[in-house]
Amino acid sequence: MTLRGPIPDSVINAYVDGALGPETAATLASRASSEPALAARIARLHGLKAGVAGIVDALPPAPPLPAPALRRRRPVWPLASAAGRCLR
Amino acid sequence: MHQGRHARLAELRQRLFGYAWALCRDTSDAEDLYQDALLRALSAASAPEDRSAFRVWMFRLLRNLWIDRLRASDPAFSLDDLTDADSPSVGSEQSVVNRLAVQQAFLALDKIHRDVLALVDVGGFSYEETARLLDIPVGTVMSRVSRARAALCRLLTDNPKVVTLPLTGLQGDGRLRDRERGRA
Repeated sequence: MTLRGPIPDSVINAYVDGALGPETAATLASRASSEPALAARIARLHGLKAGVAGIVDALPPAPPLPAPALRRRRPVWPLASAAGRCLR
Repeated sequence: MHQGRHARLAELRQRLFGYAWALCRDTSDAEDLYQDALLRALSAASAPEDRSAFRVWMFRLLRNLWIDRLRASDPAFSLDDLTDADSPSVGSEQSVVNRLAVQQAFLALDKIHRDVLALVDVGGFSYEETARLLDIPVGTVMSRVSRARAALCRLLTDNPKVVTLPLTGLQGDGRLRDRERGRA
């Protein structure tokens, strides 16, 4: 991906989300080091991302999982019932 | 009961709950949705072995239950309602973002934007995983995330009430949600 001229928002977002390839990401980082407006857009997007990600920390703890059930034993009463019928 | 599945769900549970909350915007509804999803996951006959595939499977299961609930409460609801809307681009005028203000503005986003941002930012999914989960191309995820953040930015810029609301914590504060009801 070439990064000449204005960089689309979707590409900057992908950069913030770590979704760009290493070469494209390095090119964008290099441009940001010399373009304050681009650096500010990246910083703002990082702030938005951190804010949304922080939802997890702001919530109460997730309800616990149901405890794993113990392996059930096959009930013995059907066998006892069948045996009883045989003895009648 | 599958012990391995239980352990994996235990690892996911806070993010999964966060995703449920992001979709429902209400702690009680989120708990119901989350518990329902857990029970279904634990009782499912099979689940993916691969860790990434398991996460996608679990979040998708919860998301499908959410969509079922929306359909149950609104028979006219369809996935076609979840369409993208254009938003202005993110400006560079403010580089410091108030995290709590962002979280309150997040509540006012459309369903489709809350959904994709929650998957990427709360669930921690890559664009590829999000694309698999939503069954859309990666390029669509890319543009949807961009539009979602632009909409978030616009809410923060255009709606100063968002940042001046008393910050009483996310749970139980439905004022902004009530105000924005009908948008999503």
